[in-house]
Amino acid sequence: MLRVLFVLFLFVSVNLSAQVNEHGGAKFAVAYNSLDFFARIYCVPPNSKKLVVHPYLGFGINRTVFQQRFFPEVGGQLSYSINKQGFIRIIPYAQVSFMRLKLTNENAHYWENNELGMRIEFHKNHDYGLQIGYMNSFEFWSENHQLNHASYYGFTGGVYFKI
Amino acid sequence: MTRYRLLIALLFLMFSCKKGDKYPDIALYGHGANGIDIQTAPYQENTLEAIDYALSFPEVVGVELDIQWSKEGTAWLFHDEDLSTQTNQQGCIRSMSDILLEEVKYQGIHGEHLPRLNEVAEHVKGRKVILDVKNSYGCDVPATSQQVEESFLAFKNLLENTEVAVIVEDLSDLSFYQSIGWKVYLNAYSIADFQATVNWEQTDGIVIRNESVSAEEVAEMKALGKEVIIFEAKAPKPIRKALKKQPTMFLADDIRAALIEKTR
Repeated sequence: MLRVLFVLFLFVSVNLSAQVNEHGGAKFAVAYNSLDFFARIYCVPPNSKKLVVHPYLGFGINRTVFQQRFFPEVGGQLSYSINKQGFIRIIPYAQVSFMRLKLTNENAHYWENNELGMRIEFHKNHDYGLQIGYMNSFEFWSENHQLNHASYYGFTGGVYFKI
Repeated sequence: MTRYRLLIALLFLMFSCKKGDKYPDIALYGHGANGIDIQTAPYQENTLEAIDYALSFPEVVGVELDIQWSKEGTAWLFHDEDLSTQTNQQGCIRSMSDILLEEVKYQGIHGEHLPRLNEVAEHVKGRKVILDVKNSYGCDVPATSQQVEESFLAFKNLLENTEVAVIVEDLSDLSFYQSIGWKVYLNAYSIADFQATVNWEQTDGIVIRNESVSAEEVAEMKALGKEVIIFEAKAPKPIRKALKKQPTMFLADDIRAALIEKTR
């Protein structure tokens, strides 16, 4: 557990020092979907326009922390800010991500996730927000040199704050 | 840059070690095929899709399936007492006809159909199946012994290289199962209940919830020549505890979590 917290600390600090600047920054998010709870760091590009792409990195908390099996995620979120000013901002988004989970020495599963949803951001002294979405996920794995797949559907939800 | 290198080295050290099977003697089965009431499962339990998914994991030895009988005495796969909990129909399997049951679809986006037991045979070739006999729901008269035996014999005739066992609530049909070469496990609330059942010595073992049995009791049962099947452990921690008890078999709801715990 301590090992994981230590790596998590390094991960966050490295990203913070790398990304925060006068105009842009990073968002830390915790999101749930049917596969796991995910901790994510989103890049917020400088001089954000209405239509923005946020690349992000993350990992599944249950698998990585409680089972010590790294469950990484990499993805991008395309969001459109309906109103750029004001305390409350409504932002629809589309998100694509990829995940990999090694189950045994011989067996790893991969996921490709597509998500559509809505983010509500609150901007005052601190920036934070909520997002809900609907996810369609495809799981891929090989068995006896044959590619298999399964599909999932379900709601997702998360909270984030800007760091 | 140094911090990045340190981070990468740490991640490599943490996650790159070999993941050998820590519990090679425990046979992993899919509970209700790919798990019952579990968010991480792609399909509804007790469906053909769920069976295919569970058996696509080479480490999964077989699947556990729940069997109920229709009005005509046909064996169908379904877990709950009433169809309304999970499907587009209401009522219990036993009071419905085969024609009606053919129309039943699970709620959810995949809309899996309710399978007959005979449909399963083709999906479990070369693997193992445990049939949980659910013939004691109080919604209607239970299926007769003749109906149960006929449906199981028909299923047996369809199988190729498939080992079958049954989980029962009572031992009234014990001799029938043994006559067709199927192992028999008694579903019990505790080891004391199991040993209080008449003819328990003639069974192959016990099926018991994870929280109702200790590692010592599992060892005692195994010393008596009985197999122990543990179920009802969904989160990583309970799964870990269940595996540490060294049961003969473990019915996994979250197959991926169980595989990780087995090879941690």
